Amino acid sequence: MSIVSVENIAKSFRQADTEITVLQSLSFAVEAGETLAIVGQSGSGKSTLLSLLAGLDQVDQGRIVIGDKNISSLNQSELSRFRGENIGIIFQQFHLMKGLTALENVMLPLDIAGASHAEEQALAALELVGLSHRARHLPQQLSGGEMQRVAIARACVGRPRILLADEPSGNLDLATGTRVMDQLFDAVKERGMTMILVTHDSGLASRCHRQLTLQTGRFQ
Amino acid sequence: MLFRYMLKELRNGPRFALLFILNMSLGLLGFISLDALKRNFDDRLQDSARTLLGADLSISARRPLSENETKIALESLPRGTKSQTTVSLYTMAATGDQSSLVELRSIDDPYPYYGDIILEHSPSHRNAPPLSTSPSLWIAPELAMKLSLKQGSEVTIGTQKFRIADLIKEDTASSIGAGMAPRIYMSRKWLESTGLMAKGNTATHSMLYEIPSEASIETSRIALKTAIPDASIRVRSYQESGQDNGRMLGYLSDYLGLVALVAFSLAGIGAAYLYRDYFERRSSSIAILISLGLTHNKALLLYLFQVCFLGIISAIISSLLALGLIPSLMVLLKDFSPVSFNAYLPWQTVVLAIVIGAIGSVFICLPMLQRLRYLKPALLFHEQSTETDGLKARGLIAYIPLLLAFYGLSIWQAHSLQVGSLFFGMSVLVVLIFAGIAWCFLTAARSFSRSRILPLRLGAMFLRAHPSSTLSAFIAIGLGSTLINLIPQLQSSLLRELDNPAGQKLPSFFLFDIQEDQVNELQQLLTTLNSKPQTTSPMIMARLTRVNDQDFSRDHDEKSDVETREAEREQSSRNRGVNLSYRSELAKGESIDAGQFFKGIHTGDSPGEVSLETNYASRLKIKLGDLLTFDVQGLEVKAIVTSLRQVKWNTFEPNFFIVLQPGIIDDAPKTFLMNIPDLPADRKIPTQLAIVKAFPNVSVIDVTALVAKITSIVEQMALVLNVMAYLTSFTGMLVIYSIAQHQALARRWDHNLLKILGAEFPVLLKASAIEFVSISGLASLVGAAIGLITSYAIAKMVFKGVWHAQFALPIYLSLGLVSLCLVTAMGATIRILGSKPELQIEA
Repeated sequence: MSIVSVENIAKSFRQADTEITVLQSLSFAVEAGETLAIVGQSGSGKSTLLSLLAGLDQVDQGRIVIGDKNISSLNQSELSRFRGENIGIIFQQFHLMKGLTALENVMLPLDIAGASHAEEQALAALELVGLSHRARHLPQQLSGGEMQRVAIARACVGRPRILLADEPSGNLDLATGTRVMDQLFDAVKERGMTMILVTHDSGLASRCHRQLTLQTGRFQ
Repeated sequence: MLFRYMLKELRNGPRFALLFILNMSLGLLGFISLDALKRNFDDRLQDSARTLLGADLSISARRPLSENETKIALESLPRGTKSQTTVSLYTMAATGDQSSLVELRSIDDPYPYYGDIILEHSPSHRNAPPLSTSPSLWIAPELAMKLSLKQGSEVTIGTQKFRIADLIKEDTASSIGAGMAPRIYMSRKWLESTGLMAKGNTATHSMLYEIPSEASIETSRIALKTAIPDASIRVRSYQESGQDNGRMLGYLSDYLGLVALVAFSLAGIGAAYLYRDYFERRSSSIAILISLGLTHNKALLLYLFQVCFLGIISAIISSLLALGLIPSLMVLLKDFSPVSFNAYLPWQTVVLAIVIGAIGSVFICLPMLQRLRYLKPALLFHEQSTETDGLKARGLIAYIPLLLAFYGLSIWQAHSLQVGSLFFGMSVLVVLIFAGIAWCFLTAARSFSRSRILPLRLGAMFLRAHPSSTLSAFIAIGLGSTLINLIPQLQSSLLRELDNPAGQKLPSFFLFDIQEDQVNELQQLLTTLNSKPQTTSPMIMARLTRVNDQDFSRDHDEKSDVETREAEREQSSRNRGVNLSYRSELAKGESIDAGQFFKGIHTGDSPGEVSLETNYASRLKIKLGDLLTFDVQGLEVKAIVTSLRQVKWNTFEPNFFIVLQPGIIDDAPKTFLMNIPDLPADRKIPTQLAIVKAFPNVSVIDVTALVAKITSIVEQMALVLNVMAYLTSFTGMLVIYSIAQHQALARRWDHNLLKILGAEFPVLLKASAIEFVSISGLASLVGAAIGLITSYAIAKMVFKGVWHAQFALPIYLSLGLVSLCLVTAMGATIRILGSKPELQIEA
């Protein structure tokens, strides 16, 4: 059964007087528990697709259905709530809050959702990525790999149904990247999540159940 | 948790929070201190108002009140009301070889109903021998000093000799208005014997009332006003009397309030700049929060709350700082207040500060915060859609609450729609001028981008790379410079104008209460003294009863607490008898604003012509062509307004609001005013003494002494305004410091990259110096020029006087400002440049 259904979506941006089409007539579906890699060259529209799936931006045409919700029809507040409950995001740049400790960063989604026992859940998520001993450290006291593991813990802590990852190893060296990705795939498997991953890395893409290649806004 | 996050975010960016709070605290300081003073003053005035009037209610007129009027008045008041009469007038007190103008108050027992006159030899006048037992006086110590008098000395008032019974130590009924001459008290029993009460004199006759404690003062006031419809009889409650006494301080605090508003605006510019930078740095954090499920509205609320929090902290710190400033302001303002102040901070002021701090901060940051609602978290994926024109339009709309709040504050501080609107309009105009010049400056900086001199090229690059910082710094320095230039320039023009109005010499003496039959004898006396009057003008007391045949008596619905200065002046002009004069030519220092001055002498029964002073006509809403009806001591006189005049009051010539065409009221009972031209110092005292001895009922004002007194008041006012202006400038400096600090920090990447690329420390330092010297130099000079132009406009349009500029002052002030800016900016830059570039890049 499909948990994500993308139906004939299109997206374009206006820059000065020029309209740039980033995605056109794109359709695909992802099954629950499946891991999908979207690969493609820079500027092919991978990150735009991910921001549309996350509900961080709106499609110009078509619709995206997650579970039984057409997220294209939700307003900003509904989208925020939906995202908080159903989607976890991992960014290439980690995007941790500088002033907060690793634990506080992981607790953030739970606090926003008003969840109880946030600290215990966050510690469990840090445990999942092997970082419980660094819980009280600030991001600037962590290595790049550790920061990405905190970001993975933060994405997983609310037990979202879908995990979206944008070049999760893009800012890490090969060895660190491999270790962190092992932990990511383990976490996805352990928590039964569906993952859509955008990457340049063919090795990483091959670890997913399925791959789709984007070229100038269309699947090849 | 989100609240904790908000606090943590502030703790992690202490420089922003600290500078924002410092800016807002200093900006609010003037406001808070003034508000505390006003409340303190109002409270004290409220407590002392009864003793200032000496009664609950009073009626007064510039003519004796008839028996019928006093009877009707008393009957309109609650049963059990007590009443007594007082007569006050300015006259001369003479000893053997000296004389002085005095404010004579003749009283009945038991004066006053409230308050006390503490005498040197008696703790209260109530325990002292009554003044009615023999011709005796209580006199103010200034008079005793001036005429070398002591207890038991003799002094002549009018034609009667009096003994000094005692010296006044403290008079609870002394008010600011009494400052023109020292006060003396006499029993009313002896007033007739002085011969001062000739018809047409300028005495004020009053009835004081003590209302039974259970009766309402306000109801009694209204009843009294209804019973006495004659507008020439003034009805006052003790509260109104308090307001009258506080008017001078009120006017001064209005202008101080506007200067404080400039300080707040400057602080607002600084805070807005700081917040802009902070918000831009936080935008990715906000995007992260939104990507984690926080709604845009909640994020907006979170940051609104954060700004409110900073505003509240600023208000609290400012309140603490105000505790230090209030005592100094009290010392400076004590001469303008009839009551003494207490140094305390009212809780209402703290609440007001918190409200203004919180709401002000929100309004200042709103143009930034509104962008949060349209923030696209997709930027976290490094792809952003460009902002639409709609967003820019919304950005502009977000400034509307700020402008409206500023407009509201201007009117509130000025207590005048007119002055507040003018101030608001001028402020917006000045800011636009600065913004326009700053834009031209940035465009001009482009031409230095290809200069062969590296520091100059880099300086120009820094300026262009951060246009908003350049603009903010330019406006902040420029406004500060305008203000600190404007006040001394105005002071200089005003003092010159007081000493030398319209380039003329001031007269030595101004004489009033001259009876008609004394004019020729007085002129003869002056001839024997080798002098002659400059001007001799008749003065006739009258009442304006109708305008265009519509009743012009007192408005029965008038409120005891008017809200604006315009309403206050209108009410005060309306509720007063008028002094009329007549002449065929304009006086020196007069000019026609509209219409034509009189065409010859009036004959026949048709209404004659009348000329009104422009501002007086405007206050009473009278225009050219209106038909005015006067009651001239029982006789109805009609005249059509044919001209409006500008009058230079400070020439100390006999000037009048209302001048009639000759031939209309020439036969009415009148007194005369006269001025005597400038006399050598050694002839002044003998001339004054000769006049007083020959004409004891004639009052003589020593114009030189009066001008000296006004000058000292102007200087004192200028000092207070300067204190506020320096506070404003200091706030401006802090804004510059904040901007310089942030500019230096924001540019650390540029600086360090340039260092890595081989640029040397002195080159970068020179580039920064060029940047700040050019911004501060140009802004200071433009500010000085605007200050000069504004002082010219105010001197010509408001004071109608000579503009006397000090051209060296703007140069010194500009040099001072540039040096301060340079030191501040360099201090911030050196710290950044001194650090290791690789560490900065890693950070």
